[in-house]
Amino acid sequence: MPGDVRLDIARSDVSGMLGAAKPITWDVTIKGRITRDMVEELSRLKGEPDWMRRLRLRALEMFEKQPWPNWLPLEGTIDLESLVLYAKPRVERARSMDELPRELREYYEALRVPELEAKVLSGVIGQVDSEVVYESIKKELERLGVIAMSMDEAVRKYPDLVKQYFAKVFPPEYKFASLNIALWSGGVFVYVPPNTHVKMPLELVILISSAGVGQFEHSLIVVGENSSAEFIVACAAPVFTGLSLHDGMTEVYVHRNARVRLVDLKNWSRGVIYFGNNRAIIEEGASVDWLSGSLGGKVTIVYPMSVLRGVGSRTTITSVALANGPTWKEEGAKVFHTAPHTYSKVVSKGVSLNGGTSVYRGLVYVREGAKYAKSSVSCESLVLDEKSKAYTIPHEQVFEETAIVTHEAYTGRLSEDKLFYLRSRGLSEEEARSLVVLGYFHDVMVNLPVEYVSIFNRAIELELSRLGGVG
Amino acid sequence: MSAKWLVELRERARELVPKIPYQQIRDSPSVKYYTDWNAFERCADPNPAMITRAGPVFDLVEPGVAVVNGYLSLGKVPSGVRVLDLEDLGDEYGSLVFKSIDINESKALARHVANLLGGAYVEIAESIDEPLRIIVNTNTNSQVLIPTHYTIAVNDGVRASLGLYIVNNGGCPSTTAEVYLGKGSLLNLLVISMGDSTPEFTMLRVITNENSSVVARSLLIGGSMNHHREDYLLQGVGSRLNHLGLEVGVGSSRIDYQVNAMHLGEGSSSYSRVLGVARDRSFVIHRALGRIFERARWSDTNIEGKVFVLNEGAYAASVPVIMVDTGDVNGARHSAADASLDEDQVNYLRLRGFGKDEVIDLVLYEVAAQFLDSLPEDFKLDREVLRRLLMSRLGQS
Repeated sequence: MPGDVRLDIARSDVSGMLGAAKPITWDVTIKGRITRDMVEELSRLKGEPDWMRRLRLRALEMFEKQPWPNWLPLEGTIDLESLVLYAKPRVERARSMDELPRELREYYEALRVPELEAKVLSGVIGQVDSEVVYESIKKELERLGVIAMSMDEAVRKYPDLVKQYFAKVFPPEYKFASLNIALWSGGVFVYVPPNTHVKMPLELVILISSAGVGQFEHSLIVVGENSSAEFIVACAAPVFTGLSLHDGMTEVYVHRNARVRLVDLKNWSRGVIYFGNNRAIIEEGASVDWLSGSLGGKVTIVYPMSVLRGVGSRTTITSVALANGPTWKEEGAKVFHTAPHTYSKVVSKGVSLNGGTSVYRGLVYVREGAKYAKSSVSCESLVLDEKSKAYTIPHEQVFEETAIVTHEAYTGRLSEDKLFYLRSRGLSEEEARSLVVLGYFHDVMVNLPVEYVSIFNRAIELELSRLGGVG
Repeated sequence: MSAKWLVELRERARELVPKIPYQQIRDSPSVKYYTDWNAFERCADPNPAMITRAGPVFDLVEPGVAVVNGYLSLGKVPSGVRVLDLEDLGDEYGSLVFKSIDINESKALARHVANLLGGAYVEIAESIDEPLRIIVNTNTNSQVLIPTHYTIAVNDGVRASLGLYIVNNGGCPSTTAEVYLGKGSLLNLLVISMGDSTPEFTMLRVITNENSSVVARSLLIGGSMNHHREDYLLQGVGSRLNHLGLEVGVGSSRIDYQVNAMHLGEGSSSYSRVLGVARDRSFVIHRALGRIFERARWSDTNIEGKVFVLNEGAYAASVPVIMVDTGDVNGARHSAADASLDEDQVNYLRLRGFGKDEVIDLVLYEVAAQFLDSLPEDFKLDREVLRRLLMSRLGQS
């Protein structure tokens, strides 16, 4: 039967990159009902200023008032009380890989972090469960006046700067955003001063070590006028039995004429429920490019959002997702055009197989007065077998007569012509299918630094390994 | 005295009304309602004292069935067509009414059924040369809900043309229709919804059978809050839908037009295109769903929409959704655009001496012509009536 591909899901798990979970000892944990006392305790443990404690408590009040989202693709709700909501690993914060315990070093090596750090990155901050355990920033950044450090350290060292933006780009407007702000721990703070160009990207590596963990990473990136920077978030988890939750937030404020690229690579194991609350506010003449690749995980829900606030601001949002096995992979995009001559382009590609569901859900909103705003959205989905699904759910809301907003989408199966061509050159049907899928993603991943392309390809190959043994 | 099935149905709906919402939102937080359901709350439940005729009845086309303020009368019914008043239906036929529509779905539907004033059961047993026209006219000074329902069965192998005119001259028309196509049948369907300053609710559901085809043309003009939904359930193997819609927002109208093509039969095919124009202070919404369910293997769906925003203060929204539940799919495609007029076109016309308003008129006429020219030949009389109607409505704005 055409398109009929059956995989052994357990064997072809992408989390094979990290292998089985290694035991990590925690120094401090917080678990139970989410109350004021819990939030106060967390704030006290982190030695935070009073303004942050109050901010957390306000977010908690919002969390308690807000309804549980009815749009989640889960049966019932997530039992937050069953999760460890704060887990501090028993590890001193390391400044070099050698200082890390062996099990963590092995994780990072499997993800090729040391190699990337040496070759292409201006710094790496590593988070495991709720705390940053690794922080290595190149001197060059300091020389440029760039601030790059863990979020909790920035709250203490640069309170005025952090306070100006924290939870302002992404306020506690729905339950999981409020939960993140109330319980946040970990994440990075990056401040790039005006007229500064950071040539090499900075990376945040996020790991969840085991089942039963609630992770609430919160990152804030501020890029000054006429500056440029690139930021990568790489998420991964080893194989474990049970569920963990990552409810993360990345807030980005981009000042006039600045350029920012944000790369988000998710490589979760099957037990992770992931909410990505990512939003950028973009001022006049500035631009933000989001690039997202998503593999693994039980449920993934992420809609990078760009608010085009300044005249002539631009954004692109590009995502690829592989929904393999019993997974719901929702990679969307939201763009708000609120100023004239703004431009946005959204490209989304998804592949579903072995009963996986890939979803594009997006919104393009053009406010009255956003004259000559232009937006185009393009979605493509491949469904590889009869059990898998692909949904495309875009919303376009245009309140400006001079704007042009277009959307196109296609869902289909693998092209028989391409398969025939590859088979006529000696490839088996399964190998041909694998190659077509890799090629499908390559169109988008070509925008990644070359070292990351090879890592991401490797991860896709692992995911498809039973499909044809590619790689 | 209503039939037992109808009494029971109304009773069941009445119990549901306070229990269910107008709309379930299972969506992200930044997406809100497209229909202003509060407008329907301002429509009172009907009682005879409130329903008094306010003006002349719509008579631009000759009806086969006319339902004015819920009262049914028969006109020129083609031979081979049987029309029964809902109130006169026995339990056997009554059990077919609302068979495909779940009244638990929304408060709008529950209120509709709880207050059902009338309607008809229509059976098209033989092919007909002339279209059968059903005219639903509300015509009252009171803002009162006027719900009617139509169940239409087209027998196997029959070729027929059906026009459904919903003309709002006051009151809040609430119209549901379910159309069942027999095996190998062909239906040309023309749906006209003419709005007014009061809200109106329409839900049309067409269920296809094996190798049956429907050619549907829908025209929606104005309406302060016009919620209009068309569901095409392509249940039959090899069944086909060809649909073209035109929604025209003028004045301060708001039209929420939803077209759903749901494929349940293998090898079924759908094509839907909706054109929209938003003029003055109107808000024109186009929602469309092309869904291929798991069992509808080797089907294809193509959903298109284009809404022109013609001036400052006019709004548009598009939600073209595709959902594919199987890899054994021939293809699912959609495209949508919310756009101002093409700058090159505008410049070309303006260089030739046309003012901006004239350019807008030209675009409107062009879009209207595309729609009218696409009507099946059976509707040639309707085409001329609609042309005059459209021009007069557009000229008024």
